[in-house]
Order: sequence, then C-alpha cells, then structure tokens
Amino acid sequence: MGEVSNLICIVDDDKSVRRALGRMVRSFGFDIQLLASGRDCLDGPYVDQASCLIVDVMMPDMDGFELHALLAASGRDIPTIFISGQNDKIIINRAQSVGSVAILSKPCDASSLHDAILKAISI
Amino acid sequence: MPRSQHSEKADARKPKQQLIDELRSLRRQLTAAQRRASGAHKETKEKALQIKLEKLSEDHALLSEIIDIAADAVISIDHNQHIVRFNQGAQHVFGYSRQEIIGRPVDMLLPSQFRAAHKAYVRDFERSDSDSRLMDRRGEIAGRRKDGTTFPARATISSVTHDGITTMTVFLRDISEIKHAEERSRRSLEELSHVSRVNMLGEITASLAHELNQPLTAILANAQAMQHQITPSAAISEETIESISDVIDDAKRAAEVIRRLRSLSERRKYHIEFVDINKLIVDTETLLRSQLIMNQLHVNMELDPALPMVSCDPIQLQQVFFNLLTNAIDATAKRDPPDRRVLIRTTHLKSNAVEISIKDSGTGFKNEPYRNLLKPFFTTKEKGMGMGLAVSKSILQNVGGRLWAENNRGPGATFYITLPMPAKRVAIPAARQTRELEPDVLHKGMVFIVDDDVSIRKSLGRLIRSAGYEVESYASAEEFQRSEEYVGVGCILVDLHMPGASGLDLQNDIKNRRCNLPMIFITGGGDTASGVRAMKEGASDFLSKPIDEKRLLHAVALATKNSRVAWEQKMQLMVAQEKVGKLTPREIEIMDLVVKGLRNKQIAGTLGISEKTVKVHRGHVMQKVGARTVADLIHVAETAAVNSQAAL
Repeated sequence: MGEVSNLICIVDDDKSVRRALGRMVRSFGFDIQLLASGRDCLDGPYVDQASCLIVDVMMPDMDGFELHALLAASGRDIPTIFISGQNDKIIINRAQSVGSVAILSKPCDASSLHDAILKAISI
Repeated sequence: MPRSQHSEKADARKPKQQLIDELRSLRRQLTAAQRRASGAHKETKEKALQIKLEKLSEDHALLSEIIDIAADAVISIDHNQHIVRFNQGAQHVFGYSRQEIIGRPVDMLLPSQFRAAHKAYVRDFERSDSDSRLMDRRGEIAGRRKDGTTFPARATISSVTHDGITTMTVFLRDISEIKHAEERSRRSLEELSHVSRVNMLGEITASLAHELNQPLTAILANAQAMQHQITPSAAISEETIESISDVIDDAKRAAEVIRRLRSLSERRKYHIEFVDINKLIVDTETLLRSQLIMNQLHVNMELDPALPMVSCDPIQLQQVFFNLLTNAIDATAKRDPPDRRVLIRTTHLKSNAVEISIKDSGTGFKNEPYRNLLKPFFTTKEKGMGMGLAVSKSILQNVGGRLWAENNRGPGATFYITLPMPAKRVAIPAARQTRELEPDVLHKGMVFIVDDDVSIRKSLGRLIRSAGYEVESYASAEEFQRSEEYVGVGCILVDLHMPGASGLDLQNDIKNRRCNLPMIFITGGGDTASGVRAMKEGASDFLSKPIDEKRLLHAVALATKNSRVAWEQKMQLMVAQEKVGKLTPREIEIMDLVVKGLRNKQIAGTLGISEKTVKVHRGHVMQKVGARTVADLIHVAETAAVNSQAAL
C-alpha cells in the first residue's frame, strides 16, 4: 500500500470537535485536513487526495449522508467513517446501507477510531 | 345560576302573595256586596266583581301549574319541617312520588350527616328577617335521592307568612351533571399538563445531551491525542500522564451517563390512533376557554368538514394545539382587546396532507428567523422557558409532520402544521370498512419503483399505472430511503444492481425498519444467484430483464394482495388492541375465562369472587370491547392476542 496517501479529511461543523479529532488522528501518525462543512469538502481540493474521510452525520445544510451521496454521484469512492452524536437504529442502518466503513458514536474512543481508519485505508 | 334563581323566585313569590291577598279581599267584598244586594245597580257591580274573581282564579291556577312543571325542584315545608308541596321537578330529581312524600319530614331528602345542621339552619332562617337566601354560602348543598344516592345541588330558601302560618319553600337544582363536566375538563387539563411536563423533560434531556456531548467529544479526543503524543521524560512527570489518563476515564464515564439519559428520553410511549383533527381543535379550545375569555382573545374557526382522519397520538397533538393557542394568547396580549383575534383553519392539501394554521393578530416576530423559534431554550417571552415550540416540533416530527411560522402581511403571525395521511390516497380507517368497499373503487395500492435507469423507471411506471396502481419512482435506494415513510398497501419494485446502495441493501434496511411492503427484484439477465438470495431473505418475487409484462403485473398483483392482507391484519390488531387496552387487569382475567368457555359461576369459583361481581365485570368487558355476543368477544380477544404474538 505504498501508493496510499496519508491524508485524512475530517468534516465536522463543530470547531472544537473538529480540531480535537484532528489532533487525535494526527497523533496516530496521519496527515489531516479539517473541513467545516460538506460544501467545503466538495469544493476544496483535499477530498481527492484523501485516503479516508471522517464525516459528522448531523450537520446543518448538508448532512453527512448527503455529502457521501454527492461524492458517490461525482464518481468518487472514498472510504468514509461516519461519526454521530445520536446513534439510533435509523442512522446506523443508513450508514451501513450506503456502504460506510464504520459508524462511531460521539465521543469516539481513540482505539475504535484508529481501528476504523486502518480498516478504511486497507480497502 | 344562583342569582337569577333567587330573583325569579322572589318575583314569583310576590305576585303570588299579592294575588292571594287580592283574592281574599275581593271575596270579602263580594260577599259584602251580595249581602247588601238590592236593585239593578247592585247587580252590575256584582257581575263585575264576579268576572274579576274568575280572572284571579285563572291566574292562580296558571301560577300553580308553572311551579308544578318547573324543572327545578320546588318543595314547601310547614313549620314542623314536613313537606306540603312537592312539584314534578322535585319528583324527578329525588325519585319520590308526591303521594309518598307529602306530609313526611324534609329530612328524608338529605344525607343523614347533614340533617341536624339543616334543621338548625331552617330554624335560624325562620327566625331571621330575610325573605329568602342561598342555602349555603358556597351555594352548594347535598341532596339524597329515594335510592339512597346523594347529589350536589344549589338551593335557595324563602318563607311566606300568611294568616300567621309560615310556609318555607326551597327551590333546588341538581348540579351533578355540571360538576361532572367540570371534573372531566379539570382532568383533561391535568393530563395535558402532565404530558406537557414529560415532553418538556424529554426535550430538555435530549438537547442537554446533545449540547454536552459535543464538548465531551472534544475533551476526549484532545486528551487521547495528548496521551499519544507524550512520553514520560524530564519535562513531563508520571503525574501529568496519570492526569491525562484520568481525564480520559472521566470523559468516558460522562459519555456513558449521557448515552443512558438519551436512551431513556427516547423511549417515550406514543399511543397512535386515528384522530379527527377538527374535533381535537374544538376540544382544545374548550379546555382553554376560560383563559381565552379572561384574556379577551376571540377565536374563529374555519374547519374543513371533509378533513380526513390522521394517525397520531391525540394527547400529544392536543398539546401542540395547546402550546400554539397559549402562544397566541401571549402574542396578542399587548393589543387592545377588540384587536385580539385568532383564526384556526384546517385544510386538506392536494399533496394529501392535512394542514392546520393558527393565525394571530399579535405582535409577530421581530427579525427572528423562525428556525430560532423552534430551538430549545429560545424564547421571546419574559417568563418563557423556550420549550413549547421545540416540544411541539418534536411531537410533530415523530408522526412525520412539520411545524413552521411566518409573519402575516398585516399584524401578527401564523403557525402552520402539516400532518401526513396514514396512507396516501388509501381510505382505510378500519379493516371492517375495507371489506365492504367495492374492490374496483378502492385504490389498488402504491408501487414504488427504485431503479437508476430512467427509461426503465418510465416504462415500468406507465405500465403499472395503466393497470390501476399509483406509482412513485426513485433513482436510487438512498433517494427512496429519504422519502416520506409510507404506511399503506403497496409494494416495492427495485433493481438489484444500482450504484450506491443495492437492492439487497434496501431490503436489509427495510427489514430492519419493519416496513412490511413486499419487494420485487429486477435483475439483469443471468444473475439468478442474487435473485435467489433475495428470495431467501423474503422477497416477494424476482424478475429478469427483459421484463415480461404479464409476469410483472402478476407479481405486482400478488405482492399488493399480500400487502393488503398484512395491512388489514395490522388494522384489526390496532383496533382489537385498543379495545383490550381499555380493560383493567381483572377484566382481562374475566375475558380470558369467558373466551375459554367458562360460565359465570365457574369464573366466580376460579377467581374466588362472587358471581354478581363476575357479572358486573363481564358487563364492563362487553361494553368496553364493544361486543354484543360472546362470539364477538372471542373474535376481539383472539385478534389482539394472536396478532400481538405474531407481531413479536
């Protein structure tokens, strides 16, 4: 997997959550890019370099699933880890049905996030 | 209405006494005249007196009759407190006939514990100067019927002394109906405010959980990042590392508390039933009437008489109306009383939803985006908690409804609610009705087509629509999943292979959501393996491309037929469970034994209660369940029990 980039994009509308998750992921040894919304993610250059996305489900304007669907519609198939504060069955089912790598509840534990990232980049 | 009764009675009494006095004096004059009778002059005078006397007798008779037929009880007693007059109203209220009661002590009409006090009261009144008064300062006394039951009443007493004999007359009205109505309305208000508190608590919990969870996520992530970054060295002591580890443990502990709180607040029980929105609005207005009157808010209603029923929890929905009307009271409070108005309107929208609008003439919103209004803890009121609209919104979302608001062109604002129909274009309020409907009249069912190929969607759609079904098309499984939830008769026609979620993914999702719409899969030629897998997972059928029209329509007909059976069962179950739900545990025991075929005597023996008690319970069971015969009862009991097991 020498060709795989080391960049992970984190999309979350909550600034302090975004930054803290970024630090956590960086502490695993990855490069990170923080994005405040699905729109930023779609319009920016980073998404095409990312080997994995960590996406908050509940965001205003464009939620995590919408972002995922738009990326898929534009022909991009980037392994995605969803994180959500409210993990009821509907959200879990949806995350699974759209083919995400994992769906993690907030707050997420470092080791589960690390496992999910490893799984994502090995796809 | 003690006051008007009071004056009526006084009015009735005075002319009566005047009449009697007049009558007597006329009689005296007449006899005197007769005695002195001589000549033609005397005769004319006598005749005039005679006519006057007859007229008075007529008036007297009329008055007596009026008193007799009055709906209120009119009871006269003599100085020994024995009954001398007992009108029809009294016979009706107390259940005694005139023959039974005339000459008996008035005590008989009072509950025993009040008799002594009453006697003293009447004596006291007799000695007082007043002509009449209310019998209780609160205006309420208790009466005792012939069958021993007691009832609340309002009464006034008056006395007439004539030729040295005092007669006291009581005017009494049975107010138990009024009391019951008051009690009922008090109870519904209490119930409503309880639900309101529970909802508010749930909503507070949910928003608190969310608000706290976000910083907690950041705390945990930061602490764990730190833990990864540092190693013990001269600059970083063991203790620092221990501190970080403790922060992580505590953040996890707090997260667990929030998770548990959240699962608690999610498990709210809803009692979904078919609800007549118009009636619910009228009921809510009635509940709030005293407040509306007090605040001089004029409510007008334009309720669509053809409004269809909506499935929702009536108490929850009533709370929404309650919140919105209460808001309207507050919003209009600063206006002059004649300008305080609310218009409630219900409409059946073409999109097959019900819309309710509540338009007030209040102050409207000043530059507040309505999104803020619906947020928890947001309030424009001085003493508001900011939960009413947030709670209302979440109640509506739970049944797939919506709430929003707009400023009016004129003064004030309008709140809008939309509620989806239980089944689009399917009029099936209860299972029993469907069977009576002509099969042709009834809409055949809804077919959802989920396929990424637009030409297939179109051609299949046309074909299926031409066969009499309603059709809705979606380009992907995700799009379908995002659509409004459909509860009703129909089926899903889905392409097995699509970009994004596949047909099988959709099948899984639908199974998880317990949606009972049968699925028909379309596969490209040669992929029977996936088709078989889908069938194993419970698919209704699978068709290979190119699709044979006849085969397709047959598959759709079969699937919708199964869906209809399932729907009808669900409706029957709902109806039966609701009926059985009204029973007390003891009544359920009795019902089970009746259904098993036991006789009342055997049931009494089994449960160790008297046969009479069994009969009473049994009567309640039959009444609550709406069964006329034991066979009806067995049907309901079995439907509720069998289907609830099936549903598990």
